[in-house]
Parts: sequence; structure tokens; C-alpha cells
Amino acid sequence: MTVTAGARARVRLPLPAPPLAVWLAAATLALAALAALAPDLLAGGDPLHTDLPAAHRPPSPAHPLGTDQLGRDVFTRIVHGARLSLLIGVAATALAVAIGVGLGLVAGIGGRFVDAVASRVFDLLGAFPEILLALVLIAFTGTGTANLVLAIGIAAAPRFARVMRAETRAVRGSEYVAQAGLLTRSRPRVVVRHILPNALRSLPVVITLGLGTSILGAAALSFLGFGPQPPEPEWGSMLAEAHGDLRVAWWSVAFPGAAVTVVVLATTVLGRHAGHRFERRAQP
Amino acid sequence: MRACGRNDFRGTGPRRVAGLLVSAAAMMWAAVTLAFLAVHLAPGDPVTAIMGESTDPSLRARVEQDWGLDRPLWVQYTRHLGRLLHGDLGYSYVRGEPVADILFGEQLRTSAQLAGFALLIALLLAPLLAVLTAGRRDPLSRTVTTAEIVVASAPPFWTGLLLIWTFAFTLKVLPVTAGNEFQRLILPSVTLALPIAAVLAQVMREGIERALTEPFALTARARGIGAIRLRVRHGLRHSLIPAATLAGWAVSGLLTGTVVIEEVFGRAGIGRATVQAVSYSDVPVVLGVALLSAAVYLTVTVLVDIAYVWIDPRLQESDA
Repeated sequence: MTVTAGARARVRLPLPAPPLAVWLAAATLALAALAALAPDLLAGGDPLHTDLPAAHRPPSPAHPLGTDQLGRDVFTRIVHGARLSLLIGVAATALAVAIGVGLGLVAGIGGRFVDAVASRVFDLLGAFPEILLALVLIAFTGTGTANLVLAIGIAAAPRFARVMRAETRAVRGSEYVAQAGLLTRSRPRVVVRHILPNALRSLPVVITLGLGTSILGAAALSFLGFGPQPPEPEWGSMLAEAHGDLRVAWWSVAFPGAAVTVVVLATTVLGRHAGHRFERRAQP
Repeated sequence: MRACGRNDFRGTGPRRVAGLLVSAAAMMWAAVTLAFLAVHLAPGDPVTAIMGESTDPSLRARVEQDWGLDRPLWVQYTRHLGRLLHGDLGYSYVRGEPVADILFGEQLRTSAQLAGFALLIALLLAPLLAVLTAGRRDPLSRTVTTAEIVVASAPPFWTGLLLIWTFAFTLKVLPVTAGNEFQRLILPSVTLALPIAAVLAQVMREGIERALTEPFALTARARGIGAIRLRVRHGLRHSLIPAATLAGWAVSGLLTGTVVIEEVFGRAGIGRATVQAVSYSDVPVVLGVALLSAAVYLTVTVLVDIAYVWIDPRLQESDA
């Protein structure tokens, strides 16, 4: 979904230094990654520690983001929740990219028939909204973290496959591929050495934006109860647990959702920035 | 997003429309076939669902015979197609009712109301924001563009919860469950509309800004046309084609948003039925919803594809 890359971008001539927003986005993602890898560095407490007398406490110095319905510290749970939330998003995106790149490459280098069939299949799967496709898969496989990753990953794969197919087609028609074909009789060699690396060039942008989409989708599905089960800290399921108490404890809803928003926002800002740079390099 | 982004304008008028209809029908047929195969690969089957606790093999055989499940797969498939054409989507494994009864009727009306109203809000809000902020770099425009990216990045159900907290619990101006039907519709449809309006506004703004760099915009300026008038009369129509390419995406957004937002606002629509069906692995119901949404998606993309030439007559001239 590259939506902004228009007139304004074309007017500015030199490549500007990354704006502040990009640095902030990178810092946010670094912080989120740190929380996922070493949560104890940021929040020492136990995310599962319940303290019923201290339930629904508003933000205070002792609990900077308040406590939830079981008296657990919301800040600690958000920091520890980063691991599962990001893991699901990253794993699902990785799966989608692996499937998408494979199928897209096959469609791109295949003959007319292979390409036509593959394109129809991508179009067909694209006619189902991704979350709905994921829900269908969950109806088959059942709930749980692994099935959630599988469902989101498979549902997102057609998106990557289409991009990969288009890129492969474009690269395949270029002069250097024709030249490489003259120099070697090995077609797989041309594909692996010349077509694949060049077709992959635009993928980082799509992957960054796709990561945000996967994290959002994971949050929605786990909010609906199809992801990690309580008491496991995870942003979507934290929202599911807390949303009934919205009237008495807004903080237990506001902050986990803010964590999702900030991370997705960071991927969007980074992805778009990379997209702008990429476009400018592609058409000087 | 892709199906309508294709620059496929070969043929003119009726022939082009017929081609679009045929390819949409083929897609729908493929979707139906996929769903049929999926049911047969699925764990759990209708027979077990009907028999309940009983494990009597003769009863099983009778049920299979009654339902035609002992016939070859292709016979079942043709019968399945025949039933679908009569609006029969099969039976729920869990509730034992026809899927059509679970989805259509009251549920469909509730969901269609929500999605329709949200679409209306998005279609009014997006051009308004785009026209007011296109080509400007003042604080207001910067705030609007930033807010758009933030709203598009936030989980819609979270936005909904924040709106409930603000307008229902704190300001007490809008009800969530009390009040009349229209009052109850406002918060969920705004929630559903916001992310769609945000992305749509970004695309339309860009379209208008591109138009503003064209010579005709300069000419219009030279005639002394006002800034807003210039954007509305000469910019807005150039933002319609990029906006139309988002139609498929917007439909997907509305359909999935409905699922999640009905859950947040406790509305008994198709989305809620879907979530329940998924948690009970009620495959026929889930597939029924998927087919319904595919039908909606294909219909909208075909309509938009047809509308392209009407939106931008240049597309027709270029291939004549």
C-alpha cells in the first residue's frame, strides 16, 4: 500500500537527511526490540504478579501506567508483552514473505500459463479480506499463538506474491538478464544470480509496511480471543481482558493500544521514508 | 486493490462491461469451489454434528444417505452449486440451523447499516480533509496529515474504545447501548470510518496536489479563481481515479472492521456471528461469511472498474 509518493516528493531535488520523525521511528522500533529481547532491563517486575487489593489503581509513581483488574502493573505487562506481540508480527511477516517470494518468483519466471494460473489464484485470494482469510484458517486450525502466526502469514502471502511477481517480470525483461542468458546455459543460475537479487530490491519497503499490517492484524485477532491466552502478556489480549473495565480503568485499555499504535506508526514512517528514497533512486 | 488497479481498458462500452462481469463471475465460481473443497478437507463433518452423542453406524449411514454424502464428490459438488444458486449455504455444524438464517435477516441488516453509514462518513470526510489541506504547509494541515497517519496505524477497536470512553463515559453525549438506533450507530460507524477516511484523504490530497502543479491550475489561478474553488473545481476530479483504485481496499477495510467493531460495541451483526463461528470451528458459517464478503468485494470492484471510464473519459479516448 504505497499511498504517498507524489508531487511533493518530486519537487525537492537533493536527497534530504532523514527527518526527525524517521529517527524517532527507528528509536521506537529499537526500544520495542529491546523490550522484546530483554524485558527485564526496562521493567524489573513480574508481569504475572497479581495484587488484588491494588486492582484498578490509576497511574502513580509506583505504577506509572496504573494497574489492571488483577492489580498487575500495566507498564510491566506492556514491556513484557512486546515479546509475543512482536514475535507474532515478525514471524507472520517472515512466513508471508517466504511464501510470497517463492510463489511470486515462480509466477514471474514461469511461462504464460503458469503466470496466468498463479495470477488468478493471487487475485482470488485477494478478494477475501486478509483478516477474514485468517479467520477462516483459524476456524480450521483452532486458536493459539502458533495457529495465529500461520493464519496471518498465509493470509498476507498473496500481497507479497503479487509484488514479487511484478518485480520479477520487470527484471526478467531487462537487458542484463538477456545478456546473462547468453553467457550461461544454466537457467537456474540466471534466476538465482541475476533475477532474484534484483527482484528483491524493492522488498524491504513492502516488508516494513507489511510488518505493521501483521502487527495490527495480530492485535485484532488476539483481541477477539484467537491468540495467546491469558494470563500471558500480549497487547491484543491485554486489551481483550481490560476492555470490559473501560469505565473504571481507562489506563488499562489506553496504554496497551498505544503501544500497538506507536510500533505500527514507526513501521509506517520508516517504510514510507524508505519508499520515497527508493522511488527517487529508481527514477533519477 | 489489485483487481481494479489493472489498466485493462481494451474494448469499449458493453464489451468491456461484459468482460468484467464474466471475469468476476469466474472469480466467484472459483471462490465457491475453493470453499466446497475446504469443507471436505475440514476437521469435523455435518454427520457428526447431526448425530450428536450417538455413534450408531446404521444411523450414520442413514444420515449420509439422506444428505447425499455417500455420493461421489462431483455429484455432491454439482448439487452444492445448485443449492448455492437457491441461496442455500448449508447448515451450521454447531447450531444446526441453515447458515443463511444465521447470516441474513437481522444480522445482515445490522452490519449493512454499520458499514453503509461508515462508508458515507468516510466519503464525506476524506474529500473535505483533502480539499482543505492540499498544497498547504500550515500548522493545521500538518496536524491533519499527522493525525491521518496515526489513525491509520491505530487498531480500530482501540480507537473505538477511546471514543466510547471520551464520548459515552466522560462527556456523556452519546450512548453505547442505550438511546435510539441512530444514536447507537454514530460511535461505531465513526470508528469504522476513521482509518478508511484517513488513507483515502492522503491519496486524494496527493491527487489534488498533482493537479495543482499542472498548467491548467496556473491558468485558473491567473483567472483569479479562489484557492478552495480551484481545489474543488479543478483538483478534486483528478483525485477521483487514485481514490477509486482504493475501492477494493476500502471494502476489505469495511468488512474486517465490521467484524472487530461489532464485538467492541456489542452489536449483533454478521461480524459477531463470524467470531462465534470461528471460536467453535463452525466451518460452514465462516465460509458463508467469506463467500458473502467475496461477493461484495467483487461487486464493488466491478462497479468501480465500470466507473473508471465515466470518471475519466480520457481513458476511453486513449484506446479508441
